[in-house]
Amino acid sequence: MKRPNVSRRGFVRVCGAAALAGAASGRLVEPSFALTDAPRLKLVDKAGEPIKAGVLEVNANYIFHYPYVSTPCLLLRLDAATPRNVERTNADKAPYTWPGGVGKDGAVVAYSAICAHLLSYDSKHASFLTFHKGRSVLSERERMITCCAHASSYDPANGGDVVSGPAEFPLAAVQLEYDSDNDEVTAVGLIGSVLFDKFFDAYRADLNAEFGRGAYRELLQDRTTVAPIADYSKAVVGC
Amino acid sequence: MKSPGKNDGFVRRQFLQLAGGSALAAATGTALVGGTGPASAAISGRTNRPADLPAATGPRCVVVGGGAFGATLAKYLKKENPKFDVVMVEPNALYMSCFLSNLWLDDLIDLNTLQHSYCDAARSNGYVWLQGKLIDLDRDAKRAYTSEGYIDYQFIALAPGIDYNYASIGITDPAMAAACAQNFPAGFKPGSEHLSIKGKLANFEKGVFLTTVPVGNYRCLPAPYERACMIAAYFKKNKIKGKLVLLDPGEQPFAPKAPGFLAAFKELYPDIIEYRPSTTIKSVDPIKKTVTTEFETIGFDDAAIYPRVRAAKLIEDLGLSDPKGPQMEADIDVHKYFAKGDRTCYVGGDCRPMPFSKSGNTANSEAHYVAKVIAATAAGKDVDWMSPQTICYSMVNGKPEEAIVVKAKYDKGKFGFTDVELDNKRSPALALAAHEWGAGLYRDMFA
Repeated sequence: MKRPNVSRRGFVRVCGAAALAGAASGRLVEPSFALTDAPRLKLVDKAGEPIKAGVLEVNANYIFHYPYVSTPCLLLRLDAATPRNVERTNADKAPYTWPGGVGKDGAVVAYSAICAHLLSYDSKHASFLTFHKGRSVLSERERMITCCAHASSYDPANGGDVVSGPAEFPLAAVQLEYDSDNDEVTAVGLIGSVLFDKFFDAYRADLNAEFGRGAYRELLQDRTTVAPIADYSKAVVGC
Repeated sequence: MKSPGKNDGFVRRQFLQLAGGSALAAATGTALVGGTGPASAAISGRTNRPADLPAATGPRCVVVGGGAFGATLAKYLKKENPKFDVVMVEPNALYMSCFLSNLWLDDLIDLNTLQHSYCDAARSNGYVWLQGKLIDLDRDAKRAYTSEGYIDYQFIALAPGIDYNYASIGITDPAMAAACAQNFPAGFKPGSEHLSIKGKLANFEKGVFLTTVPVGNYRCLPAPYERACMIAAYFKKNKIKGKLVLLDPGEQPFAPKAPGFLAAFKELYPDIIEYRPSTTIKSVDPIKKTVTTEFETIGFDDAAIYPRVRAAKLIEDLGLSDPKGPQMEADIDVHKYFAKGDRTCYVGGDCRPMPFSKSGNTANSEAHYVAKVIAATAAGKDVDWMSPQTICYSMVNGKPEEAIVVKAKYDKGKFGFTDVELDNKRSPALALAAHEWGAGLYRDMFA
C-alpha cells in the first residue's frame, strides 16, 4: 500500500496568471498550489476491501490519509445531500469551486483533518477536529466540524467554509470520485488551501519520531485505509 | 488572628454589603502611589548610532516586545504585507510562556514546553530580532532609541507587557516592595518568578502556601484559580501536608468558570484549598510573612503574591499612558490601537486599555487584527473592527488531567463579553485540548 522512497514529485506549484486563469474558468484546482499527477487512492477498509459509500454510518467520523502517509483526512457521510459547485476562496483570497458531496445520496464528503487556523490535527494520540451532528460546546451551529484547540468551526456541507472561530479560510477538501456501479469512492486530489508544507514544518520532530526520518513525506499509492475515528485515535476530543 | 481560619466569606460579604460596596470600590480604584515594585523603568538616555541592522528593504515596522502580542504581530505584519521590513525589539534571550505555566507547577508539562527561541521565530517568519530594550521614542522624527542603537521606522507597535503595582496591596515602601517581589514573586512575568515558585513547591514541607487574586483587569483572569488547583494537585500527589489559601477580592472566581473552579475546590481538594472570597488585602509584611485584610491578619509559610497589574512603566515614560486610567494603560484609539493622533504608533498586548482579557490567546488574536490595521493604514485603506477572541482552558485536576473551558468574543461598544460558550464540567478530553490550545499558540508565534 505504501510506495517507499517516493518524493513529493506529484506536487508542483502553479503560479501566477495561469493558475488564476484556471480558477476563473472553473477548473477544480487550487489557484496557488495545484496537485498534478495526484495520487488516485481507493478508499478501503482495514481488510483492504473497497469501502461502500452506502454503508458508511451517517454523521460518523472516519479517518483516512491522503496523499501522504502522515496527512489525515476526515470522511463523512452527512444526513443530506450537499449543495453542488460551491464557490469558496482560499487563504490568498483566490476563488475555487468545491464540487459537493458524492455517493448515491450526494452526502459523502472529505476534508483535510489539519485545522486551517493553527494546524491542530487528528493524530493517533488525539483527534481535535471532529464532526458533530448536534451543536457542540464550542461550535455555534449544528452539523459542524469543530477544532477543539481554538474553536474554529467549519461547515462540511459547504466546502468546509468557516462558520465561527479564528480560522480565516476553509479546510482543504479532498476531491472524491464516485463509482456509482460499485458504490466505491476514490480520492483523486485536494482543493482549497493545502497546508502540508506548514504542517511538516510544525510537526517535523513528531512526524520523524512516528514515521521515521523523512518517511512522513511518502505518498500513499493505490489505496488508503478508512477507519472509524475511535479506532484511529486514542482519544477523540469532543468540544 | 494570625493563622488562617475557616472560610468565612459569607461574613465578609455581609460586611461589604453593610459598607455599601465602598470597600471594594476603594480597592478597585487604588491609586498608583509611589509606583513601587521591582525596578524595570526605561533606561534614560539616547545613543546617536544606528542599531546594527540590515538596511531596510521596505517600510520598516518596529515591534517592541516579544510576547503573545508582539511575536504574533511581527509574524503577521510580514504576512499582511511581505514588503514590510519588520524588526522585533525584545531584551530577553528566550521566550518563556506564562500561558500553560501553571501546568508545569504540577509537572504536567516540562520546562521546554514553555521556552521558545526568538532566533527561530525571526528566521521562520522573515523578520529581524534585535535583542535590546527600547529606551526612548521620538515620534515626530519616527526614531526609536534602543539599548542597541536607534531605529528609524514608518510604523511602531509597543507591547512591553505588565509591571506590578505593589501599592495596590498596601506596600508603598520600595524596600518592602522589593522584598515582596523577590521573596514571594507573583509569577505572572515569566522567567525567574516562575522558576522561583516551582522551587518553592519542590521545597515545601508543610503549612500554609498563600496565593492571591488581584483587583482590576489582571493578566489571565482564571489563572489564579487554575494555579490554586495545580498547587493543590501537587500537594495531593506528593502527600504534602500543606494548605493552599487563596485570597480573592471578588465574591466568586472568574465568573464564567466559577462553577467549574468551585466544584474542583470542593470535590478534588476539600482539605487542601481554603478559598476566601470577598477578601481585600490591605497590607503585606514580607518579612513577618503576614497579609492583613479588612478582617484579619493571616500568616503564611510561603506565598506567591499577585498585586494589581499596570501597563509596563515604559508606556508611562514615553508619555503614552492615560493618566486617568487606574492601570496606566495606553491612551489609544480603542478600535484601531493607534496612539491618539498618531497612526504610526500602536500599543497592544497588556498595555491596551480595553477590558478584554489580558491573556495570551486574546493578545494573539488582537495581533492578527492589528497587523491588518497597520497594513491597511500603510496602503491608505481601512479595515472593519474585529472582536478579539478568547478561548481559555483551565486545568483543574492533575491526576487524571481534567480541564474546563470558556470561549467568548466582545461587543464593539463597551467591550463586554458576548457569544460566551463554556463547559464547566471538567474532563480529560478538555485537558487534551488545553495542551493543544497552548501548542497551537506557540506554533503561531514561533513556527
